[in-house]
Amino acid sequence: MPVQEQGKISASQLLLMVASFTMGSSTLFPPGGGIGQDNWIAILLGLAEGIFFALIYLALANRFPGKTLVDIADLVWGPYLGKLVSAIFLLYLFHLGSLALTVMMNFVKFTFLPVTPVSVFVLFGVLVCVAAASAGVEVLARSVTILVIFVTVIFFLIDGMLLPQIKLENLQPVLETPLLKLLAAGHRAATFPFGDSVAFLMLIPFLNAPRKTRSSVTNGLIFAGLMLTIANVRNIGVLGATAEYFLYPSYSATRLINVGEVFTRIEILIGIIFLTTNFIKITILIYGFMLGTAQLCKLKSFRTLTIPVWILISLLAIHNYANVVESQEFVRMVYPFYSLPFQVGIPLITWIAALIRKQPREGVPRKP
Amino acid sequence: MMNKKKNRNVPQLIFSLVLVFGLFCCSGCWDRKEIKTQGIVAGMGVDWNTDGSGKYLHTFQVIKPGEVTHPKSKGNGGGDEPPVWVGTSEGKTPYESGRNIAFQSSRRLFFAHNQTLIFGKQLAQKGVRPPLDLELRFSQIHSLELIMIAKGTAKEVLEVPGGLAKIPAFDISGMVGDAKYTSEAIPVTLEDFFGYLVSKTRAPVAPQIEVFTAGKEKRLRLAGTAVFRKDRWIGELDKTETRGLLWVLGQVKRGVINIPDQRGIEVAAAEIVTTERKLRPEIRHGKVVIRIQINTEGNLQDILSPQGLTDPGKMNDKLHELEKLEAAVIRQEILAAWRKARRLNADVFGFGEALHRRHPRQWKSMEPEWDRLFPRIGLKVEVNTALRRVGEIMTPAIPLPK
Repeated sequence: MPVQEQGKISASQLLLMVASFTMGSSTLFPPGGGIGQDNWIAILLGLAEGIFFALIYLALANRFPGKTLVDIADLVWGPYLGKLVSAIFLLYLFHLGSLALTVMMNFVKFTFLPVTPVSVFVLFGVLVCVAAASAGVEVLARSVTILVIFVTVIFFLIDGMLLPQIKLENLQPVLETPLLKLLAAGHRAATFPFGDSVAFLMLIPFLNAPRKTRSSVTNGLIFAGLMLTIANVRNIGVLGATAEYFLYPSYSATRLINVGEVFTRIEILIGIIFLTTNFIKITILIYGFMLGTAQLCKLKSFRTLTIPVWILISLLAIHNYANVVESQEFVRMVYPFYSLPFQVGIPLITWIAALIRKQPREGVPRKP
Repeated sequence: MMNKKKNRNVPQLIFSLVLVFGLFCCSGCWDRKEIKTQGIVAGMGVDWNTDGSGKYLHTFQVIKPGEVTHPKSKGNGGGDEPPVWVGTSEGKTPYESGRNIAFQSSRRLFFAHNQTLIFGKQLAQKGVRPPLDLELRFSQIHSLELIMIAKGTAKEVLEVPGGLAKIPAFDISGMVGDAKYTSEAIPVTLEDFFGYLVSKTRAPVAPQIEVFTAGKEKRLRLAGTAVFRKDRWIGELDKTETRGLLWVLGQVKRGVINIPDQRGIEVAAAEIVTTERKLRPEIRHGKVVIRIQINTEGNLQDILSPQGLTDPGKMNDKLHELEKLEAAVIRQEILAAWRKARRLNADVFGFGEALHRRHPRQWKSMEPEWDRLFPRIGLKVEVNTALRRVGEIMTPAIPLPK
């Protein structure tokens, strides 16, 4: 058992965490992309593929109840190879966290604080994330419960105010995209954001009702998938063909809100939603990374890592991409392939190996 | 135990202090905008090559805070000064020309409340995409601002002093807003125009504005609709054609229809109150037919030839007769717009997009030769009108027969 974390989360808390984690950066620009008015179909396809990914890592998690991926890798692959597998997986979490942070950084820099040096709001933004992460899984789960309600209310508020401007004819013709392009966009949506939920391999062990793991995670993914589909239909309905051109379609659509000349210029609402869900995503990834690293290095407490992670992830986010185009192209072109070994590869191979080695063996205590 | 608790609290206190400090830091230290240092832009215009130098010319109409906020405090003195400052700067690229205003203005210009974006005729003929690209990229600009084309230069439009509104640019945006009472000018926002530009077949349109002299004063008025091909001005629709366009787009809100009799003499005028449009593109034997159905209800507002309308029972017959004549007028407006669009070979109605939505398969082969197909479209217009109300008096003001 991981000694570093004693907290427990409930099934509904896990569901909300998965949902808000998955909405993450995608509340700003839709998953998939590049196929115009058919993108919402791609999101639903991506959701289906993402649930398939989830079933793979859930099979692994259910086979080793109460164990994080680091424990499992240790058991299945042995002390040396296991540590290597864990380290690669943890680096993926770290890198994904910095990617989400880069998205946040570019958005805030473009919209709200164009002159302020990025290091200021990245450092302070991540400070909140690492503080939340080091508070432990229970605090995290409870804050997510509150934040999700908040986000959902604002989300539907925006949808309601944009309703008069949604032209459903903008969604026509349906299914014009060639099947292959549709599937490719669906796969992009599956890896970012649905497949990212593989990070929950570090959190699932703390569920107080292990039998509900599968339903919590899949329902969370479905919740997020439907929210993102609604957001995408809204964006295309409002912006039409131009939705494809905007870097942040949700933001650009929200800017068009004009209810009786009174409720205008409230694009900050989409900023609030995005910053909240993205905060949850970064925090969970940082938490997973910190806890996993502590287990890997057999630290007494993962809280020791708070400050180093704070500095390192900020630096990586600021310096990893030369410009905004590079980070967007990474998400669109590279990430769908780059992420596969982590989202599918490691869980699948570990699960198969566990099957072959008939693990976990009953009655054999884990080496201290 | 007390000691331990104390130790636990100290780092938490420091941590909270750091967070509070962060709050101060992140409230926009670098991006703070003091109202005293900002010049709020109400309207802006872009011209090109007005003096033959091939440079872009930006004109900004900036609100003077003092002149607006002191209405009558200094007696009559407040009203004499114009409440805006108009500055013009030039440069080789749109961005440079806009930024060069810094040499002339003491305040940093702030664009988030900009109402109108006016393009001069010469720029419109050269192509409006470069300055539009800048507007779309620029984060302060809202996509709800109105796009307009000046018949002369944008500069002279922005230099005309205000009418009813204190700020001239707000007058212009108000004019476009009030166009819904005549439906003879089309309101086009930056977002709309962006949509036109990225469409493969659609011809962009924007309302035109012109300067005219009333006595000694210079004034502004709306003057038809500019039609573009890609981003270049190629022609214009007059008022009637503009309303024809709005009928097809389903954007007619209110308006006046003059109803002539068979000889062409106006006998009545009606107001449009509600409208409904149905547009159905069909492909028959390889030929595109667009069916447009307009249903409109209105009120009779004017009767110019009242003879014989006092007999009971005659009024109703007359109304039905006028309804038919009104339908013919609306039909003529639509056909006028269609003839002009066909002559310019500009799909201002978005027929291509309608076809694309309705017949995506056939559209694939049509899209590349849309320029050839568009003028050959068959247009079937059906107009149903109803005059529901006649105002406060029913019979015209002539002596009733005994």
